[in-house]
Amino acid sequence: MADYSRFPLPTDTAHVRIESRQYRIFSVDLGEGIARWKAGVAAVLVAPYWLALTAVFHLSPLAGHGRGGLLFLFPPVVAVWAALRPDAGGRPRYALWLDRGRFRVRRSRPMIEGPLAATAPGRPFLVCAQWVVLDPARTRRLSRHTAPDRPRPVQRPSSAALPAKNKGLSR
Amino acid sequence: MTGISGVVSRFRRGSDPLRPPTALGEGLSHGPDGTWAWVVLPARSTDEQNTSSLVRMTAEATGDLRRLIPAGYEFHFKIQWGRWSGDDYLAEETTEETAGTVGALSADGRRYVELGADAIDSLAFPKRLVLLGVRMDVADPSTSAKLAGAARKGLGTATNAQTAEAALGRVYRRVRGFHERMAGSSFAAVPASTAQLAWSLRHDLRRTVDWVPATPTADAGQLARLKSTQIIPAAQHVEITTDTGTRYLRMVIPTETGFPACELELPGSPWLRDLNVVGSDEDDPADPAAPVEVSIRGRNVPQPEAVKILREALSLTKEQERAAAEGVAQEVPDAVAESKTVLRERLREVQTGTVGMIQDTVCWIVEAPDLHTLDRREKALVDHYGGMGITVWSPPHIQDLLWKETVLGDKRRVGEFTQFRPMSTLVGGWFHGGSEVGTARGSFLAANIGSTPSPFRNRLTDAQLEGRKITSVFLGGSGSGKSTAVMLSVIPEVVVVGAWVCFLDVKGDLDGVAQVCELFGAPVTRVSTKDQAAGSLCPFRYVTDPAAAASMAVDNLTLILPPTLAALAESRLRTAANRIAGGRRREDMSTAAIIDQLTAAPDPVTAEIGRTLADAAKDPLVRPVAGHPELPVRPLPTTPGLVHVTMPDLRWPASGTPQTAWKPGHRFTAMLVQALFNYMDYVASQVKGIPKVLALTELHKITRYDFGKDLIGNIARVGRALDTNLLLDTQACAELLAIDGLVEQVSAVYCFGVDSDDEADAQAKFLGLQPEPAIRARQKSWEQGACLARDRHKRIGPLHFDYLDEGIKQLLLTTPDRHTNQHNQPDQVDPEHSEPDHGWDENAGLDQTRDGERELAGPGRGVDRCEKPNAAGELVGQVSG
Repeated sequence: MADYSRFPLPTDTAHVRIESRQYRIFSVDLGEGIARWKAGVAAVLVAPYWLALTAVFHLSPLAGHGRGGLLFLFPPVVAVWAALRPDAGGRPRYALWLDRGRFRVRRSRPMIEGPLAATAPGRPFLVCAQWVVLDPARTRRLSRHTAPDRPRPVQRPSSAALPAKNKGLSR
Repeated sequence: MTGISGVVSRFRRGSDPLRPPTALGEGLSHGPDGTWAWVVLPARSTDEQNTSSLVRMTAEATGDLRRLIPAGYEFHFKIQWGRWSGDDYLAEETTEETAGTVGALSADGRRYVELGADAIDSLAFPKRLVLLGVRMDVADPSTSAKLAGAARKGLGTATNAQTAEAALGRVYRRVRGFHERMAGSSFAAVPASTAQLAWSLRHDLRRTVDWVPATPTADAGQLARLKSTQIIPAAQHVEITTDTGTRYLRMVIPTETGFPACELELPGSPWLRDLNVVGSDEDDPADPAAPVEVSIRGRNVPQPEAVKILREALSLTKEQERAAAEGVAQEVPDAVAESKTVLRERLREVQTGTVGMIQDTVCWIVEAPDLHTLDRREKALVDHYGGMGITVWSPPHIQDLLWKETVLGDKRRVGEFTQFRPMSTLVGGWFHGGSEVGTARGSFLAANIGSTPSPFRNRLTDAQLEGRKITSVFLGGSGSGKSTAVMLSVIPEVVVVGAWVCFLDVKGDLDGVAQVCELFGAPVTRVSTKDQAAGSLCPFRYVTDPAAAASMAVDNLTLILPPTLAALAESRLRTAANRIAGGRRREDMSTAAIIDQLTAAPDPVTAEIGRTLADAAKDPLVRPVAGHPELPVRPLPTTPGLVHVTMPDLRWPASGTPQTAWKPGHRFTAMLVQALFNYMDYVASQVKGIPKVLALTELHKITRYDFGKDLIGNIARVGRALDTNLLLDTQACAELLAIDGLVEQVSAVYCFGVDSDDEADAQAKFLGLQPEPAIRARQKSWEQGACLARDRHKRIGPLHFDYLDEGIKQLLLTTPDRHTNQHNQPDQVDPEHSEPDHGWDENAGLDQTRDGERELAGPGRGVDRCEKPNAAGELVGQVSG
């Protein structure tokens, strides 16, 4: 018989996006493992950098009595750390960088395709907004002396007001 | 997340300019981004249902959507808010065909309607529009279809034009089929009209709508006018130039895993039901915050694809377990282990077809007139959802893309925030339900404060025309506002409709209803049992049939007698009454004549009964019924207007006292109440050709006695036969439940706040709900004037009654004012012991006044002056103290 006392509302996004971890690389045990996507980001950042240092600038990690190693390690570590820091939405920071860059490119383009939409977004200059035809609901001249208090939306009792068996069911 | 390619492709964006539809039609939009079928999901009354009903409705709606949105098709839910218009209300209420008034609306009646229109405008009720669109121009993905198409082209048997024509025909059939099946579903959806689609598009692009096409289809020129706008993207928001100035929008969406995996459930988490969550006291009263708009773009994932996604994720968990077991870690993180369990169960559900999966992105649109307010409202929204365990945020630098996604006819542009879940989770958000209650026409009485805010309108006297039950009950504790609600309900019936309304004011503190009716020029007749002329309530005086009058007189006289004599008196009373009723001259028939007949009888017992009754007839409580008729009494009016009846100076017995132990005053009170009820009931039956309303307040003073229950039950049963609307107001709803047959007669119910679980349970039964803890908690939490209402269509929603005007409010106040010097006010209203001096002839018993210019209220009501509405329809009320 169906249970009509509760109805679960699950979301499986977290389950299908589980963070897969790499526990071993070339027979080297990595302990608790590292997230594979983070390793991917690190590879994307580090490999070109090292390639540039070695192939373009012909630098060796042992150059400068070994101080060249710092140049090989420190900047990419900082870059990887900065790129992988989570932003306010839990995404890696590099997503924010990507979005920022793309936004700078497209912000000068028209928002809407069409001849009547503004082709280049710019700040509008309103002479007097009140002269324009308003929303029909706003055109009526109110005869009340003061605007009344709008009734508050219904306040539903908190879960604390319910018996213990139902706690957690109410928000 | 595998592979280096996912590092960037995961955050892919659709950055091309917005391409709005190029054509709109009935339930259809067409543009570069597809042909969409659109339906409107009408607001329903679902918010206040019992848990079991809610669960059943959710399951039913989920099944409907799974069936009606084809697998693999994209869908788009749009929840938008317009504004209820006072002008529309005024037009409807002042047009004779739609107003339901008796004859033309008077000038005073029109002023009252204008007050309602002003209130609707001032309260700025948001008006919800829920659209569901499904993209229908999806090519048949099957290999056979592709091969057939290629073969036809190759053979030259199908030109591009023929192919396009065939595709158009297929899409059109799909669209119409979708419309028909949505109409037959539990949503009872209707195809979106061209005007509604145009409004939605214009609202998306401009926020203020000053024009929509009135034609069945919107062509290129009309759409160009709809699409003209000025939008400025910014990193944190989108700026739109509207007809009323600049508005700022911020798109808020869930984080990638912002929805809890399994903590949401019904009851308790209908996460899209209440969208009126961003308002605050800091808002400009002239521009209050509208509820948040929501756009949900998604796709009904085909079963094989869903199985593939789930199976891959499950395989990953197994691989992770193996890899972890081989190394030092030994175990995978708990989240992976939990995912494995959930995925295995979900995979089984999807494979067996019990669950259908969707991918959807929810976007909440926060709007504000300035950035400071925008920040505050966004924070309120984030906090609201944080309390439900849902993490939402406004991602920077993609606000313009998110805004484009919300526009009618656009496409998905940002992918990483898409949620993967069963269809039931979206349906369980209950954005498609509502708190709809009230009637389409009628006077504005209250604000609907549920999830679909709106003006609550009602026309009591339309119930008969619709063939529905006509009893309304107002239930609630002392001071909860139920008597005021009764007054506010009957005032428009008197002032606007022109109905005959008899209002019983048991406590005597509801004279304000008469004063307000006078303010609006309605005829008002005041009646008080205290000042009734002798014999004015004698049944022989108003009942046409002498035999029926004799029967009622016997009932009255039996109640007067002490129990010792009553047992001996019945046959003697009936004999005497029949003899009087059998007389030839009508003027000789009266209750007093029956007493005289008994007194003159030779039988000593009969004579003793007669003498007892004769002595009792001199009591002020008995005199109006059994006293010798002295003067001709003007009958209650049977023409439109208010009859305000009060019963002061009654001496009620204690509720626990058995009837055999009642004192004489108690018996006389019961008899007087019975006689008055019979009188009102009879007069109501004599009113012909106009709507009739009988409003009985504070019935808990009567229903605690058996005779009171009988009176109420009887009047409720005969009310429908008499075509008279009945309004019952009581604090003791459990006592009303005990009245035989009353519940079956009840049509509308208004349940105000109560203090006890028993009363809350009784209210639940009247509302047609099963008592449960959530309902008890809700009914004990209403503030004054707010209630849960069930209309005559059995829809339930929360209301807050509206006075319309401060002057009316002051007149209708029932709370005593302790600041006035009562001893210095000879005409002070004392609800328990006196009747306000209305200046009418005591001997006549009844008085009719129609004076809107005089001083209306004594200082006891806190009003110094309240004049008749002026030419602008304004009431002027100056509050003292």
